[in-house]
Amino acid sequence: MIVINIARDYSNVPGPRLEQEGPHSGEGFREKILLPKLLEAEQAGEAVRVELDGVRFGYPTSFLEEAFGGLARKLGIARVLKHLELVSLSEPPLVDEIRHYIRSANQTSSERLAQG
Amino acid sequence: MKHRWSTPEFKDSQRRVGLKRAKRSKGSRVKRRARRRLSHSLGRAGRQVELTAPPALDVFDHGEDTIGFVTSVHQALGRSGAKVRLDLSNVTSVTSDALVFLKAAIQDRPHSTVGGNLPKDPVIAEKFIASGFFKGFERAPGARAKAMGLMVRKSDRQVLSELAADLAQFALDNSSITAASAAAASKALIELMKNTFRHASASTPGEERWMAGVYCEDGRATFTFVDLGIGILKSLGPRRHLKLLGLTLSGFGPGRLLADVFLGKVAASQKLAGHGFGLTWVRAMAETGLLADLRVATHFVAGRVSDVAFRDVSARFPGTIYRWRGQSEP
Repeated sequence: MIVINIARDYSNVPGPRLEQEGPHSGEGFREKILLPKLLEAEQAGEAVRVELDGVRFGYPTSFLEEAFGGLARKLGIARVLKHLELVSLSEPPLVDEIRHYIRSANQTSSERLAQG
Repeated sequence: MKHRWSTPEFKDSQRRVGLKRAKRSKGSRVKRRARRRLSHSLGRAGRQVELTAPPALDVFDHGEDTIGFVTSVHQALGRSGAKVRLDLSNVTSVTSDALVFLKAAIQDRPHSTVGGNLPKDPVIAEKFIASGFFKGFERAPGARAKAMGLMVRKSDRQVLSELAADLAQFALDNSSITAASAAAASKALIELMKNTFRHASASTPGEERWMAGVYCEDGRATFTFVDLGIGILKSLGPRRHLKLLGLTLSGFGPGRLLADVFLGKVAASQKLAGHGFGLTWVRAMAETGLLADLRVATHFVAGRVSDVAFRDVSARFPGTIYRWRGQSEP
């Protein structure tokens, strides 16, 4: 199994959504680490284990949405859910939050509101 | 018979005279203009504007006076080579949001000169000194500098997560803020910086500038974020401006539109999938108390985010200010 520890392999201070907005972005994490590792795991018939613990002050919502929701927009929701394993011992609800971003990846804010 | 003025020599000589006259008149025009510009700028530089601060500096509880005073300072400093003298002697109370707001307005005009006097009350004067910007001010007797606050600024509009983490860490080290509240503050600061950046991209580049600060006193941490750009409502685009006009005409005013922003009904990037989480998340954190008593002021409206009810204020502030307290350990 391929393991990614975000604090160790990318940054312990996750930042904004897009690379143009500033360093340590969700887009940068997705493009440089998450997407290549997921494609590698897919080819090997494995899953990618993403360890979320170890960052200094948690994850901004925009970072998580762009990294994981953005990945689902690129590869498809089912494909991402199939090959991704999320682990957080210090903040377990984070896993559900990320799954929510993946599942609602293709919805706009007004569509989310309409759905309640 | 050939006239003198029809000879080629005469025409040439006339052309030369004309050219000389043109050059001379152009030269003198340019010189006159330069002289005028110089005297004008000398007059500007020589002019000193004196502004008197109201007794209570507080963006939210004395919004009209405070916003009016700070925007006057910002405008006065906007003139090239301006000298502004701030009379703070009558200030009897100051909140950290007002300090950060004033500091942001002054630092936004680095080419102007600011001087003045500090409040007579030594405790209040100490707060100004601790902010690190008012060192050149005349001190009232007994005022001592004491490092009890931290203020930072970045003008290139980038989202800097290290800076947000440093502010949260400072609050953890110098107050009784809970770890969860410090984490929420760090994440909220990133969301607010990101919004500022997005407004800047949508409007004129370089218009958006922000300053973030945390002030720790008596075990409590107070966070402030000031965005000196176009503000939330103006960044919503022309379609929303029409809605704003409609709301104003029907008697609701811009407060209703701001409430819609925090409820997630209006996202600047509404048509993009996956967007519109930031400010609704900030409101959710305000409701849980992790961003305690979160207040916002922008344009002509101000209010508490957890209530999603914003009242009109008469002073116009062309940016956005957020202030919240950290949740303290019992």
